[in-house]
Amino acid sequence: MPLISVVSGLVDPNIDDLRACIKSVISQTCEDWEWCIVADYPTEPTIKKLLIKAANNDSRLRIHFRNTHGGEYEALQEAFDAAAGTFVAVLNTHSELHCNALSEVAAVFDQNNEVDYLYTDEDIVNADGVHTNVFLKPEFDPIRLMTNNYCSNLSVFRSTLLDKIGGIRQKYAEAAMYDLILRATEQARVISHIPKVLYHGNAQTPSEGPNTQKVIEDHLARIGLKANVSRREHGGFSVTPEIAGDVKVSVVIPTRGTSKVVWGVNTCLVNNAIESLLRNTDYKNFEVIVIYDFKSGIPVNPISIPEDPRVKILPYDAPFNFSEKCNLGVQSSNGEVVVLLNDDVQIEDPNWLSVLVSMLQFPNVGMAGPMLLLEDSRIQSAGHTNNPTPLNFGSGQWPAEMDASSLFNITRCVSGVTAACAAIRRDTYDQLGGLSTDFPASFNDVDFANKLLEFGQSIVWTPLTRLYHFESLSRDPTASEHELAMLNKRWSRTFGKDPFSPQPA
Amino acid sequence: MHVDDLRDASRERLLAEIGALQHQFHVGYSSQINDLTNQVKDLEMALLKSRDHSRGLAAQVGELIAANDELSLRIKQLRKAHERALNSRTWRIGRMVLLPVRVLKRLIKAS
Repeated sequence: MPLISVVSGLVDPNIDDLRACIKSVISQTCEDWEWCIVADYPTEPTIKKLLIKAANNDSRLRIHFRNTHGGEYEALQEAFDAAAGTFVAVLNTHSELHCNALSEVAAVFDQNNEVDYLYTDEDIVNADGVHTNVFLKPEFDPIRLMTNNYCSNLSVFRSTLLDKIGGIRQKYAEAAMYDLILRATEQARVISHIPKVLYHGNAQTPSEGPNTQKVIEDHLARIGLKANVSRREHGGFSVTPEIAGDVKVSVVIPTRGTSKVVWGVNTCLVNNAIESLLRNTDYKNFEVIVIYDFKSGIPVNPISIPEDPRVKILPYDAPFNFSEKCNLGVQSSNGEVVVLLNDDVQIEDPNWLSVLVSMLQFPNVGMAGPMLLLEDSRIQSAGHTNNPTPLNFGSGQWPAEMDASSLFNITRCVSGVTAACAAIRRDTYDQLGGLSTDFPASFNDVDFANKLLEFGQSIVWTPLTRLYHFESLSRDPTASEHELAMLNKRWSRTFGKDPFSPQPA
Repeated sequence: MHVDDLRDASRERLLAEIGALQHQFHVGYSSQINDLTNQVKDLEMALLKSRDHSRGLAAQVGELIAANDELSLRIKQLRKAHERALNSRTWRIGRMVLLPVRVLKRLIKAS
């Protein structure tokens, strides 16, 4: 079994935490490890005594006491330099390892010798020893990692990868580990995630610091993505890629022209949607295609859409089929990006379209969706999840704007987004055969999202723009038996697990 | 009749002929163009549909592969459990205890 080097840089550790940490490493079920601890100067005599005693009891502990003060990251770098193992795990001494942590890590590296970096799930052990805040992490998501260091602990690197990327960059201080993880993921051949809680911290890892923005900008420069990085109002960062060229967008709105009461006012949904779109969209290059239900040559419901050269109305005189209506609309449009939009939405953010088009500039992203809110401002959809069955993530919850670490505030990959508002690359839409007409009312978006994921592209959900979606106001939301059967026939293997949202909202 | 009048008359006649031809073209060909445009649209929709069907069938194949993988794994697990049972002390002791019975059974059968 190859050697795993655990590395730690010590600065004023709490003696009880350190004792617990030592105990957790010593009691690992895997035996092929060493622990390189570099204690920064000055080290308290009691800490020194504890470390020396531990090293005397177990020769796998290699301890070095620095003669000068350099801080945590200088100490950690020295520990990295001292590590002789094939794999290097970074351990904060305020934390503990699960007794099987290193054996699980070794097993993954053993199974696939191309894995260069891996991370595990983690939780927090509070002062009473109770495990809380279990953090079940997604499979590797480079878009989420751009603004959210979710990989964090426990992180294990192949030593050859560390040699390639260089060690810790101390200038980034509190964001140095984030920087290291980003550089590692850029170069790693294979990145693996162990979906087990193998790391027990004693506090939430700080999500950002003064150097975080620079770390993100450096990462974007290295991967060659031109994007704007900005700090969000309530914490956290946003990354919005620059839109390459003057991309034409075709917004496709299928409608029956129905009216409903919205915020106490009887409203023709499609009129409201188009009026808000024309009034509140700062993106310039777009057209709107309205697919409007007719019966025997007469509109099913009268509508009065504002006169605008960008708006084109197409009659649809056939039995209801949402997918077919969307496909017809897309076929009649000529934008490079297609936005499927329900008639029961209302646009408030002027940047909604530019944000959605921007999300499609991330590498390999074929579809993007925004935060959708119900009439009362609770969440209607923050993307799709397949866990336990296909449903809207966060539906009915409050958006938690103040909590920067909430999933509702992080741009990330998801299993799907609702077709109530979805931006899709036209070439992708065409290649995948559009929305399947086998799903006339429900699950057409779930099916399309799965087709897209199978095709090898990603789907991004972003909280950077929000739309109101007066869900189920425009049609009966119940799925037919045929649709359920079709969905099971095609995608039942994806149900019950979600690689992007492993835990409920 | 003046020469200019003759020219005007022939020009009028030619213009009328051009108009008639344009009308003929418009009626005949534009309807054909419309038909062709509609056919292209129908074919595009059919193409989209067939692409969806092929993706759908691929998805169904994926389902079968997943089911097959699951069954293979289950078989593997059952084989391992079977092997473990055969190698267990309980099984061996049981075999030993029942050995006289088995021998007796064989003797009875042989006779």
